[in-house]
Amino acid sequence: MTHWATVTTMTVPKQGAGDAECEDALAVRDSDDAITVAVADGATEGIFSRAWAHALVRAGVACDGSTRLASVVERAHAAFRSAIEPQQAGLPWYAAQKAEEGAFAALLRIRVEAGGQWHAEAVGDVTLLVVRDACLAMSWPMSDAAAFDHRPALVSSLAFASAEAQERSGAWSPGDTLLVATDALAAHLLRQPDAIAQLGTCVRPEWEAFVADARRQGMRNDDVALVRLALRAP
Amino acid sequence: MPYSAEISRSQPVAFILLLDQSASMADPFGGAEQQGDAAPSKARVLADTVNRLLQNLILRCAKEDGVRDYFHVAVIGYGERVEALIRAADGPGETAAMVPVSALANRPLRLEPRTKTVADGQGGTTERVVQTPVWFDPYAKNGTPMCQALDYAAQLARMWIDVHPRAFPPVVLNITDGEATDGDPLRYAQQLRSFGSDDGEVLLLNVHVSDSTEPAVLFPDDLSGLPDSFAQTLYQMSSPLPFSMRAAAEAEGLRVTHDTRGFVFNADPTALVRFLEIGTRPSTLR
Repeated sequence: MTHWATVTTMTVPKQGAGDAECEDALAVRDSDDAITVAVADGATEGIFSRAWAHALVRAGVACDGSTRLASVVERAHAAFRSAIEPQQAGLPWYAAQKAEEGAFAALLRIRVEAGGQWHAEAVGDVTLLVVRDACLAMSWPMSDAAAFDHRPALVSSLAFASAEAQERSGAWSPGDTLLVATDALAAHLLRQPDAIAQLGTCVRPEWEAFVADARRQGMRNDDVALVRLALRAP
Repeated sequence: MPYSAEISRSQPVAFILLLDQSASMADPFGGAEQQGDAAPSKARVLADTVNRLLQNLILRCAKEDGVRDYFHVAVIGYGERVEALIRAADGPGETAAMVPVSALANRPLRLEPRTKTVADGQGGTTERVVQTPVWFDPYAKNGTPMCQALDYAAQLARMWIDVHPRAFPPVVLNITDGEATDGDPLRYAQQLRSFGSDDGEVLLLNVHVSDSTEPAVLFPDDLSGLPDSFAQTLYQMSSPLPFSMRAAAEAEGLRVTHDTRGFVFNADPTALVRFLEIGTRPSTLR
């Protein structure tokens, strides 16, 4: 574990669904000089969305910092094909037809360096929120709660459209908190910035209570994934 | 906001399909590319439309581990009789007319091999044979008791709402050539549309399968482009599309206004299935 960040990860499935049905996925790799985080949100209406989201985040943290998103996705394609191949024989007509259309997920990958820089790439609406002095300093690529909808850009398991990928770099300071959240939570935090303070120190089992409370306040009932990096001076 | 209730397995949407099986449905369909004897019958177009609708409903709910019951479906035929054409294996009386979509998925009448154009993964397309489910074949006999069918739909909708009072309201899709023989369908349509859940009133959508060769019309917002009195009556019977469905229609590039109604004339209504939001949806899935 790195000494300059405290990393917390949390996932909660949709209300009414089990953990095995959660199609949000996250992965973290940390070292003394950098932390890499990948968070993916598998499309509800796709097939094999969970397997695809997990393949993406695993590839996202397995590749080194200089690897571009196109190469990350290529690596995920290979892992995904191996994972689902045994399940494809004998699929009923509806699953066979849908499998031909591929699996889909939104993805955000960020590398945070001990030297004070971060660099992120994203396709879709998984969102990075930077919290400084207990206030939201920036959010990316989504910055408006009203802009979230049911049809974000997504990474397909069949082909990668690099035009969909966005990049952003920035600098962090000791005391900053970086949050990487899937769409429902990100939209909720943008709509109700007060919730960011509650989330700032939240640990299990408070996390599940936080999500339940947010849903009561109108957060969309969707899978939720969050990675929180509380950063200190190296 | 109305018509915004979550659609989930615990809060599914009821789809009630009303199929005109009257003798006039044996006449040729006017919107076909072929004309004269080569044109398919309206009953054939109706059967293809229903099979495609059911296929789309199921595909929207399909996951690797099965079909999630976001939708329950009733299919009511009206012609010689007004009756449920599918029934759940269990369940008493009218409740058996409402079948979870997973049960439909697992028991089509047959699977037919059909050629489909698909992406080849290299920027082009290729043809592939896919197994296509068929639940209904063409059928046409006797009069058009549309009013009775709308009344039956109202009974089913009310029973559904009693059990699911906070859910997205039932969606009734009436596919017909428009010639009711048992009264004024507008009155029955208004009665049906007056029932509602906490989320909104029953949505009645009409698909006019006509022998007219006038151009197809998809989700119009006024009467002016409609060719005859049957189309105009069906338009008047149809619900305005709610905001959430208009937004989904706009996202697909359709021109909609506040007055846009759930009505299509000699056109494919399958898009209606896509206008209901279940969750994150790849824009490539149609």
